[in-house]
Amino acid sequence: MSREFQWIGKPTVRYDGVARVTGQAQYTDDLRLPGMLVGKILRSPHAHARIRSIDTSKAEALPGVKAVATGQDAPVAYGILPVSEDEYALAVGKVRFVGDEVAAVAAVDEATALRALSLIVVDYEVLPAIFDPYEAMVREDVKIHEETRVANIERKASLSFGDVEAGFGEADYIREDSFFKGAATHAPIEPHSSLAHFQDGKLTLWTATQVPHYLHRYLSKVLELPQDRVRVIKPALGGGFGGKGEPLPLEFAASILARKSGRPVKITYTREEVFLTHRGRHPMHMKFKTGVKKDGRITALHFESLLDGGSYGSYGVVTLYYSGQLLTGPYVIPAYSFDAVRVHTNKPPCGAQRGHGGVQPRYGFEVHLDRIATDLGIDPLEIRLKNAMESGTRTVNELRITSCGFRECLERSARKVSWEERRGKLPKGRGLGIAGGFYICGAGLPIYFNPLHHSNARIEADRSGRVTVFCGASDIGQGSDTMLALVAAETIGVSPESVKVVSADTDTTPVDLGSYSSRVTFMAGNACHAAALEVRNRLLAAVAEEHGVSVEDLEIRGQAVEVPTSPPKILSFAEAVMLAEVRGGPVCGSGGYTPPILAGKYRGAGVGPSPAYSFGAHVAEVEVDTETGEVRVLRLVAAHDLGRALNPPAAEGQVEGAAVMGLGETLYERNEFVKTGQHESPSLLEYKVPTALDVPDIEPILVESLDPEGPFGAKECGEGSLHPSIPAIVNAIYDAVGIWLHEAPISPEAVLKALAAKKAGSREQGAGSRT
Amino acid sequence: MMVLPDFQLVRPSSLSEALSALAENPGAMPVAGGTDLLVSMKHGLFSPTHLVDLKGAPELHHLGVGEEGATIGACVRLSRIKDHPLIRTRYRALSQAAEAVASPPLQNRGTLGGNVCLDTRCYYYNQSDFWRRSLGGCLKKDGPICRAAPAAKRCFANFSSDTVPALIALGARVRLVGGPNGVKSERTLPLEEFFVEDGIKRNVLLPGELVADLHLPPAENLLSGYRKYRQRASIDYPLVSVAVAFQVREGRIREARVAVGAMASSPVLALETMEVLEGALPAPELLASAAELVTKRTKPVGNQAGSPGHRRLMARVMCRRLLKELLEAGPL
Ligand SMILES: Cc1cc2nc3c(=O)[nH]c(=O)nc-3n(C[C@H](O)[C@H](O)[C@H](O)COP(=O)(O)OP(=O)(O)OC[C@H]3O[C@@H](n4cnc5c(N)ncnc54)[C@H](O)[C@@H]3O)c2cc1C
Ligand code: SF4
Repeated sequence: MSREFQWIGKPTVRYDGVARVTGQAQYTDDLRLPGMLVGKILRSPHAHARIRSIDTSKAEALPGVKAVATGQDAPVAYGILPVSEDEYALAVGKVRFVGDEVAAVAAVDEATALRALSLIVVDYEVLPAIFDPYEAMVREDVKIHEETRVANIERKASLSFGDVEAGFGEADYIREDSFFKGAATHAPIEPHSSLAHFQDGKLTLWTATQVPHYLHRYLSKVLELPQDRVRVIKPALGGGFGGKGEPLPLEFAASILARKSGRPVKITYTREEVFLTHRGRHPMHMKFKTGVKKDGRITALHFESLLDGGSYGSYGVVTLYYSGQLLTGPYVIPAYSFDAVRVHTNKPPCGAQRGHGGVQPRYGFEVHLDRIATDLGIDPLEIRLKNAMESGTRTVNELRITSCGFRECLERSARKVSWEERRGKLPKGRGLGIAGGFYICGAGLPIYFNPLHHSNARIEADRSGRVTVFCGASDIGQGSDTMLALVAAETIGVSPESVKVVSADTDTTPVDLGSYSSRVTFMAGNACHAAALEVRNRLLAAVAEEHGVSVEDLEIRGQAVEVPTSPPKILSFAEAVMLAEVRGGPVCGSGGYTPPILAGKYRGAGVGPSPAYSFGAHVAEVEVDTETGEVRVLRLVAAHDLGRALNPPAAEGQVEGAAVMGLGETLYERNEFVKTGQHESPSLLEYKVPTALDVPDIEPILVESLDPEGPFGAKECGEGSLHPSIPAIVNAIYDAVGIWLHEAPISPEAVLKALAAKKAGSREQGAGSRT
Repeated sequence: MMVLPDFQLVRPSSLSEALSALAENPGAMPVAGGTDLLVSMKHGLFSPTHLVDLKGAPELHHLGVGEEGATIGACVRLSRIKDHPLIRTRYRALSQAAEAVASPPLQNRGTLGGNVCLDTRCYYYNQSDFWRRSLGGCLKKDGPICRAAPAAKRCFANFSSDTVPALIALGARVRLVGGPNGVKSERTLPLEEFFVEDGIKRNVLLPGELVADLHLPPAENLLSGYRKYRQRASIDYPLVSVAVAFQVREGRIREARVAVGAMASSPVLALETMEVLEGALPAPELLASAAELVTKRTKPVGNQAGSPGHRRLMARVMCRRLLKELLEAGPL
């Protein structure tokens, strides 16, 4: 596109902004249908048990109860990954964590439904439970899933690239460190909610989902209904972050109950149930070994991770591979190997959470890198610049790097805080830390194998002058509807306000794989751009023909088409549409996007490749209270290379949100369990998401590297910006008070303990050796 | 969503009507702002037959500050206390404590009486019905043992009110009305005597008895302050808190009162600290030794975020910082 942009790069008002801030947006729980019932789920009180029998007769007999369901109503296994379909709508045979779904009821009101739950008698044979991943690796006598061959190991992955041995041989200095990153959960403001309705043998499910398409497929499978008899609609949604990124028990339970009762059934989770549903950040035990030359250039890296997956597969196999595959950037790593293991434990399943898979290793690696720099007397910024990857390269594990603004991210964020003048020179208790990161813009492969487009869009311009985009993309609050309107508007030339978006409805919108892996702007944006070009071409061809001018001389601006006849003519956009409609019927365009074939030839190569990568660097400034151990983040400068900022305020919001989430995971949020398996803090009072007072002004810096394949050059900006924030804060704590924290989240107690250890001169964790 | 259990709402328009309503219905509970009670009812911790809404009783809304001290009705909202100019200047600890409760929306709704009568808290108790059942309950609710200290015979749930330590440091007396001896009965006691070091019993309130108001002595020469240690800068209950009040006369500390909150099932008067301070010249070494003693009478158990040891350490840090701040600032 050579012409100047009309809308891109300028603030565009959110498509659904007014509705959201005025309370008019209809979330799933706001929806009501005549005759609607309330559904509730009975959950396991045991961390691990066999179900001997379930007696629902008393519940069924309770007046007001219209349906009761158990696992036997739909004993078809599912799971977001075809390699780990290990879940059931409701438990079949076994329960695996405190809160596992056992049965469900639909009743005329909530109180009746709850009473009915208490009347269901479940006979459990309680089994020993495992909560520790190291124990899970070796306990053969306790099998959380019978299918695992060795103890409770779900899956192992080991890959090696380049000559790792030679790389370490070449190193002047080698350092090894261990880290632990604890669990975190998404904590979206909107609890999960689903409303199911059966009519004429057809199921419609309104539900808070990030993945209508995958859900559509699994509803069809589990309910044994042809796909054309299932419709999934995603109403306004209040935050996903990965927690609504896969088919979930309430979606099946509401559907089964609606089918059984013949009435619409709505299930909305309580806050506690949101915590139990989880699918959040895996606790990860990690080891790093890195070899460097004297000047800090990396020669080799070896990584090991142990993922505590909780009770089910979820996205875990992908998390497992990401944990290893995403360490080969944003620094040049000439030789690399990793060994990763995911085990089952009797806790809620872990899955994908913002920054999926890369967040924990990024924390460890960036702190590890700072330790190496410190050992060698190199400035942390300098060691990063020295190793920074460049555009137009390939990583050792064959990831193709197109655009790359990493160096600029480092330089600009450092400059913003006067790094050179201030780092290491602030008064005691204050410090600066820097860290980098990178992330995918969508996965190169779909979750289930198929050769079709990952994203599709259909656009129609009608004679009222309106443009409508139909796309399966699921706006989960990140603003993808606005993005679609903007891309269509810019491509055609009309204003974004005149574009209507119909999205995330499997009956009316073409498939988009969903809002995960930061894929929507890149992939749905490209599909939408292609569809919009078709519409534009048809319009301009018709106008050109009608007025005997050449297409190249025509321009659509706002709601008008400029025709360079003499005297020049201005057609309204609607007139142009009519000219095209007269010539060829409805003015439609369609487009799709499939990533190029990117995966390497090795086994496991499918996880990691992406058509583009975002890059980022954060600098944190912190203040540590050495008497209380409290850490306050005073500043967080977040530079992010997003290719191009289509709508800058929206992009800044994403960068800020990701940075805040990272800050929360670093200092406040603990997703832990008491020793019998109950969630320690299943409420927003006790699970400490930072409040506005705990967060400094985030200072986003948008770096535009203009990706050659992204829509108008854009890449992702929703997830990547979480990666650097955790290690930037941890590295800043070192600068402030001289302690390295190898475990996150960081409690004030841990800070005090590390300070005391430092004072006592005790041996530090991790070690380096000169070779 | 979580549902409230069924109950009947009674809305009396005077204190005596409220007391009668409570006397007539043994299963009734009083409610003021409801910010504590309604949450607990959703958790299935209480299932009163009736809720008697006290907010309609004008007698409970009085707030007066004068030469003879201050009187604050039980239904006075925390935000009103926080913003009251005379409380701000004369009874700073109370104003600071009210400002430290939860968050501004909850301060607009929560009352002083509710804060004084706040239920005690514990990880194993403030959970949903499902959660507690799955564990088998605990002494305080539906269970055979204390989950936090299984060997103990009593409940150690924490009393986490913010205003109470401040009120006690300021020498507050509480007036109770009604109860089994008739709606006309009335008694007044020093606030520290209102509480019982037992997570279940909590206080001396008799069935049907209400807190009517609190009275603070005159504030002449009074220096006071409140410090709260919590994880986040808003919303969270205290993990520990310290309130201090004293006068400085002829260069010496007089009538020092120090209360520690959230470290036991009742507020704790730090008598040893008070003794060190009493009559002393304000010097830095003194502050340190006084602060060291502030946890002498507290032995928290692991039923809140933060280990007991850390919370005790924080009590000492908060106490020293508060003493230092008060002495440096001097009288207003
Ligand atoms: C998210 C959250 C955070 C919170 N954080 C804090 C905090 O940081 N610090 C803190 O101190 N509190 C906190 N609270 C608790 C609560 O908001 C306050 O304690 C508030 O002051 C309670 O007042 P209320 O009027 O709402 O009490 P209510 O809920 O109406 O009543 C509380 C209890 O007192 C009884 N009661 C009320 N008035 C009287 C009376 N006059 N006589 C006898 N009994 C009475 C009730 O029966 C009930 O048992 C928090 C609450 C929430 C939901
Ligand atoms: S301290 Fe013990 S008895 Fe009291 S609420 Fe907690 S677990 Fe229950």
